[in-house]
Amino acid sequence: MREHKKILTANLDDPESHTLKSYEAHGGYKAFQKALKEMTPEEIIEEMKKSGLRGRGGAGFPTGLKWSFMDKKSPKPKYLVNNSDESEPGTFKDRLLMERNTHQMLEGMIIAAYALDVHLAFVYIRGEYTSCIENTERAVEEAKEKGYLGKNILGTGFDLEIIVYKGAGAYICGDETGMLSSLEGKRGYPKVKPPFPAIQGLFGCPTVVNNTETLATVPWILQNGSDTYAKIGPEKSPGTRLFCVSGHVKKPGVYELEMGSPLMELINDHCGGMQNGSRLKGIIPGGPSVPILTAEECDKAILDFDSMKEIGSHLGSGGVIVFGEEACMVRSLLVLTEFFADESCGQCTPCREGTGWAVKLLHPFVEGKGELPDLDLLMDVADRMKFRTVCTLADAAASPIESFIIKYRKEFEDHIANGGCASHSQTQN
Amino acid sequence: MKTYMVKITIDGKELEVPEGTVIIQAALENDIHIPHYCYHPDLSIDGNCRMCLVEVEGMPKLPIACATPVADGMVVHTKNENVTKAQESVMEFLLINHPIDCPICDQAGECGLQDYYMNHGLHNSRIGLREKVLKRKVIDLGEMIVLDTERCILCSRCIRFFDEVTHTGELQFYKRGDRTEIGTYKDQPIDNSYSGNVVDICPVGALTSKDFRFKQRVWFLKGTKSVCPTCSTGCNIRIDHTKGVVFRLVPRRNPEVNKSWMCDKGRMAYPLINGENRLKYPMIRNGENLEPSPWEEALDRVVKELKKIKEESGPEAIAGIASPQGTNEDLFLFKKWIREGIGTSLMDFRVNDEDKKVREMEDSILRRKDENPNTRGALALDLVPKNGGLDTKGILTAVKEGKIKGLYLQRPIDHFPDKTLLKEALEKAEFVVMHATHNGEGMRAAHVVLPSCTYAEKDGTFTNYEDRVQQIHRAFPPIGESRPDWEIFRDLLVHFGVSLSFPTAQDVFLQLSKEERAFQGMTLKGIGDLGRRISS
Amino acid sequence: MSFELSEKAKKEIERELGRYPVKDSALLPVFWIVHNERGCVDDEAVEYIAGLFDFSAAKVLGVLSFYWMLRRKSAGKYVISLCKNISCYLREYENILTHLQDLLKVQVGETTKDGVFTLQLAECLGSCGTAPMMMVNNRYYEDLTRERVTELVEGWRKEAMTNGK
Ligand SMILES: Cc1cc2nc3c(=O)[nH]c(=O)nc-3n(C[C@H](O)[C@H](O)[C@H](O)COP(=O)(O)O)c2cc1C
Ligand code: SF4
Ligand code: SF4
Ligand code: SF4
Repeated sequence: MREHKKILTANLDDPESHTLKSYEAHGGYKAFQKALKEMTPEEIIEEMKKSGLRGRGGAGFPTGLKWSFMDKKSPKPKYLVNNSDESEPGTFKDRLLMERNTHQMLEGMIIAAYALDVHLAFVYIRGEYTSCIENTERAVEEAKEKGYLGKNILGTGFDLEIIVYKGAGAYICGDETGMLSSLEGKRGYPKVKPPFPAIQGLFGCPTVVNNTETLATVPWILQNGSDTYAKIGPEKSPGTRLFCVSGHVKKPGVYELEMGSPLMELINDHCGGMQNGSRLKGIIPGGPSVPILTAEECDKAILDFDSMKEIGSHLGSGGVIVFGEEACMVRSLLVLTEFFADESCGQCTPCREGTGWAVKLLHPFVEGKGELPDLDLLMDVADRMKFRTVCTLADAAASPIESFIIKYRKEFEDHIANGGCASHSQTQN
Repeated sequence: MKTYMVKITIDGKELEVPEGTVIIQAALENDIHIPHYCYHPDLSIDGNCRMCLVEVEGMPKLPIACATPVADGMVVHTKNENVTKAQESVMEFLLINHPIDCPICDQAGECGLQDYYMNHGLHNSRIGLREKVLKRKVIDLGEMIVLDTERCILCSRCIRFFDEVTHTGELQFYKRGDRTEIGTYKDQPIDNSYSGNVVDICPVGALTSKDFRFKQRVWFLKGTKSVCPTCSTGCNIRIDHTKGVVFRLVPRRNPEVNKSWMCDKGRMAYPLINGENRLKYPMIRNGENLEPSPWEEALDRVVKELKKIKEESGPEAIAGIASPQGTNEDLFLFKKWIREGIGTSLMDFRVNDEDKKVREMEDSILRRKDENPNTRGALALDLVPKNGGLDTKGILTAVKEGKIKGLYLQRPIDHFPDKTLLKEALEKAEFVVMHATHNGEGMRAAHVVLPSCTYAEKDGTFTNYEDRVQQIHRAFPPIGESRPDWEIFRDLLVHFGVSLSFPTAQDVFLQLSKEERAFQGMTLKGIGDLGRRISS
Repeated sequence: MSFELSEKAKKEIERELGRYPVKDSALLPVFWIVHNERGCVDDEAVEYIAGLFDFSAAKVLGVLSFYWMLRRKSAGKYVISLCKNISCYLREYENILTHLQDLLKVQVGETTKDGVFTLQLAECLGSCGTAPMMMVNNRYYEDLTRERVTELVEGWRKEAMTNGK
């Protein structure tokens, strides 16, 4: 097996890895001291830009650039929000970080806060992640006791408070502006942009929202230098990434791989290949918001932002969902579409009505009562709901509909011909 | 701050608009209609309905016109194929879970969805046939409103109204996705003084007026521009009526006065116009009773009695009390009548501190304490005593003391606070003439009562609390034999030898604008639909 | 109104109300404090919370009902939320579901007659590598098998019996 650099999971063998003691024993909490004592905020942002780090929350937006958009001149307070809502199906990497490498994430937040002139930061954790919430709260206390958080941190004059905020179960609060609405005590409705959060975010103040993994990567970059980081993996998608593998593989789990690795290396070398000798049917490489890849496409797929785009998908959230031949793609599509319909916040007409309509259209196929014209109607509904809404959930919902029907059309047609799913038993309910 | 103008092109039309305006605003102000449901000029922008998608050259996706600010050189298309397809998609989406019960829906005729359904949806099996998310229908939300949640298209206008205008927050969405439902907390009735407005702004038949429900199909109604006479704010309204019957009052947008709103009290004041107790004929006292009489006879009586007093005791034995219920035209001729007809300056219009209350707010939204539409007009026309002259109280005292014998009241004055004085004065007066719109207690003391029509039945102008002169228009002819006050004064003046040629209220205004300093240079055209302030 | 919270909860609420740059942010934390104590945020709680924030009760309920985890009515002592999303589907959560239904004799969305269990389905809970899985109250149970589920349910039953509901 090829060796991969470990930036986020290097010390996870230590059962105490989540404690401050263990983190420091492994060289943690050095980068932020360097940052606060030796660097200006501008220098940090410059380092982030040079590192080429792209956000791990899904869109892959360059982190340094995002930080540079923060309205520095604004007289209002500025905020940092760590997006730990992790609700994209098939994604469970931020959970690993919060449970096992909590302090690295906090250190990243301290650095980001310093660079962004932030004195109050939030970790918004999905309400279901009880262990993460408890862990993060404990870690914040530990860091406070140590003087790494609070007033006048290590005598540098920099103040920072971090509040752990518990969500209550809504995928849409993972969208950055949905998250801000939720933090503002409102329904978690994404907001119309512009204005972007860097100008008018939380309570109308300049705000940066970053994914947990993004923030956890920051200390390593400052400690080891942006050029060292930039050299890992492809030029435009440098670094390592946490891939969450689920579905029909032998060893599902979270794996840290260098960017630019072949998808099948992840599946075969790290996950031990398919379970029970099953044959690969397809892989969703970055959570259901991105199009599925067929087995043939998987063979060519490279895990970095641009390569993925080239073959018509996305790296997305890092949620790699593996479908073996036993999976019913019709039923799978219903599962995913129901998810988007359940989770649509319901503001925008096309998303609210389109997701629900698609679910209604899909049911008959699963039940073996589907009709051919409805397949085209489904495609049309997907087409009509995307690119027209406040946030990208509608586009995300369209993505499995379109990619499943195009790439596995035969399976849908067979369902019509056979009055249901002939090849597998998973059609009950 | 200086506003810069930017040049944009919408549908090939070049426009110059202030920086910072959003596309939809720029378009609407230039008569380019961009369909929309959730956008409302007097509410915050929410961008949820996705109906106002337009194409902007150089932008990859269709942006929403309600939230996209104009930029110099921007080229916008609102009617091309992409845009039309997007709009039709939105309407189709909206109809998927819509009950499509137009035949029994009160909104029919002014519904934002119905037209589309009639044109495109009727024969479209893509909508209509499928099972819909069922929601609750016909929920009673108190005095004013009935809610049908199934018809709601979730535009959030009503929510924003109660959040941003009244700050009462009664309506909210519950749940999410296509299960989202509008409602009050546990169906509690909505109890605030502006609730009727949500009926106006609801683009579909989800919120309907309990009062108007099923009374009349809107397409039988005629709308007349007017101004609410129920307080001094002077909200701009439209009177919806047919065959001389008013069915409802709705606010007419005036950004400077009432935005798009009116209060429930003003809205619900319309039954007064239709009232059973409207005064339809002149009345003349015969012993204890007032008896209907022809106009000729009533006027003759007034002329004869007043002339008699004037001859016997001089013009100073007669006084007039005007009413801020009247239009500027009414008041202008009232003044002429008292000054030039009777020949006295004994007059006032203040019965209960109207001049002090006229600008005081009753709440923090629109309502004012002064319940008259034209107190400022009366002040501008100088209908108050000068140099220690007698005010209303002084006049009544003089009547009581027998110094004043004839009293001319433009309206009953039973709201005068000192009831004893009022009673004693009216008992003592030799001759009391009164105009009234309704039969009522106040007429008790009059010797002659002349039927006056309401604001809905005449043209004219009111001057609101901030000295804005605004026009009202005649919706239908006066009921019975009632007439506008100004016509009555005009005819009396003729009897007293002052000949005037004022066939219409417009002619009166023309004269008023010449004679009265405050109104100098004003024209009805200049006043227009939104009024014009008297320059101080 | 019989609405009363413990001193501890009141203290926690007090702290949350003063913790954020804008008080409104405390709404979700206050929901959780009440939810932890009462097992739900019922109408009385909604009205109480509305008073704390000077919100309309409608606004409070509007926010409350947006989030699936917050219940308006109390449920069983053990609320079982079985993940139904794609990774659990691929790993046949449906076998676990039928098993749970058989064991508990309830359908999805129902509470057992003795009030001990509520069974519901959930969207992805972020445990996809250890599917199928369920969240019971606020703990995760992963890599589920029929046997494991039987064991767990039996254990909870016993506990409910000994400790009362
Ligand atoms: C529907 C939806 C759900 C999202 N969920 C998450 C999430 O759970 N975690 C996350 O980090 N980003 C999520 N995002 C992306 C965020 O909006 C945002 O782009 C991200 O947090 C930015 O962080 P990054 O720049 O570090 O990637 C979601 C976006 C959408 C539209
Ligand atoms: S696209 Fe869907 S989830 Fe996003 S804001 Fe619109 S309705 Fe809500
Ligand atoms: S009730 Fe009417 S105004 Fe309110 S959200 Fe629904 S459609 Fe819009
Ligand atoms: S505020 Fe005054 S003018 Fe406006 S509607 Fe109400 S009563 Fe009429």
